Amino acid sequence: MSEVNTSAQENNTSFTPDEVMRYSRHMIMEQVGPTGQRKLKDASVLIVGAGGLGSPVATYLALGGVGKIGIVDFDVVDLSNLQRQILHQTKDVGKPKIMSAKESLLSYNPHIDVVTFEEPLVSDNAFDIIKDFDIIVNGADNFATRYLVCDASYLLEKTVIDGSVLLFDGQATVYKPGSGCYRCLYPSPPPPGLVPSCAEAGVLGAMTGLVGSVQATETFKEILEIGENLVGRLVLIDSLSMEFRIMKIKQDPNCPLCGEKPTIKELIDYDQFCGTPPVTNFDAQS
Amino acid sequence: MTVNVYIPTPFVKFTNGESSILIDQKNVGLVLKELTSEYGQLGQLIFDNEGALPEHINIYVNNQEINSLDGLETILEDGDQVAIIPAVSGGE
Repeated sequence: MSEVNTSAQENNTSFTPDEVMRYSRHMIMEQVGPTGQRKLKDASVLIVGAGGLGSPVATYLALGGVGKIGIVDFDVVDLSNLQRQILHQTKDVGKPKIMSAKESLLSYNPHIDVVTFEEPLVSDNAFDIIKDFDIIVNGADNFATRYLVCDASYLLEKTVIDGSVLLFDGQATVYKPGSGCYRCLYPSPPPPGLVPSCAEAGVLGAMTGLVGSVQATETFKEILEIGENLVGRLVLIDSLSMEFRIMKIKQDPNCPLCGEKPTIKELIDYDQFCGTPPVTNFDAQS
Repeated sequence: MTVNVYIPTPFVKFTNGESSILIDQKNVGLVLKELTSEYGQLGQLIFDNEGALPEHINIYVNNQEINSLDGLETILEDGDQVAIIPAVSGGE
């Protein structure tokens, strides 16, 4: 198929006629246009977790033409995932999540590149996995991985699009180096067992879509360099009342990671920090 | 000063299902003291063994975290909104 260079002056990224039609609702918007769509095609985004949050984020980024999507997840699809994890279907039960995720994303959009990492994100591999991506989307399901994503991304000067869910509630924000981090908001994790996980307490499936869509939107805005991002603001969503609250959050000058006298200059043992047992591939297979 | 305390869903099982509680006190510390004396289990969550706020829970007054105000001494006005927000880790 012949390719169409919609604006050859700026770079060499070209679109096929199929892509021009596919992205036409983007391209007709003044804030996106061919130039913005080219930024999306040239962008790379790593999504940590192919679960409840990772599914809608990855899906919208793929549909929207983000050129390179990385997914890191070591788990296999379980029947209990299918209430919310839209990347996976009934036929995928038992399959590695990254495999069904890649198949789903490429069936949505064959013009993108999907890079998969079938391993837990841990201190030993975090830098190697994160370093090749522009933006990191946090869809982790535990505090140890959340602090790891925060620290590794900050140390590599990457922007983090953060989101979390529990029951009927969700939170989302954006961390950019120099403007605060997860540790500024929550300096230390709760004691083990005090704040339940979705597996322990449950989550409304649609909430992952709601928060994931906020994360996807913030990712698009970051790539397109448009609008006002969520840096310094925490969105709280209570779906039972359907109230959205915006809290102001500030960089903590005493933050051990991004404060004036940082003490965290390399990755630590996050399982020890959070008091949780280490996650291994064996857990995924057991 | 009557303020409205917002209780997020993960905590409402400790407040008899109430997500919005009116309390008449003059500062944040007194509001939390009255709240936790009424709902003892909530007190075990939002204060640690030393009686301090744990670092995984933030208290906001009208959308501003109290450490950027006067902490537990933050003076409240009639109609202020107080929110108790924990870190949550769910993503799967």
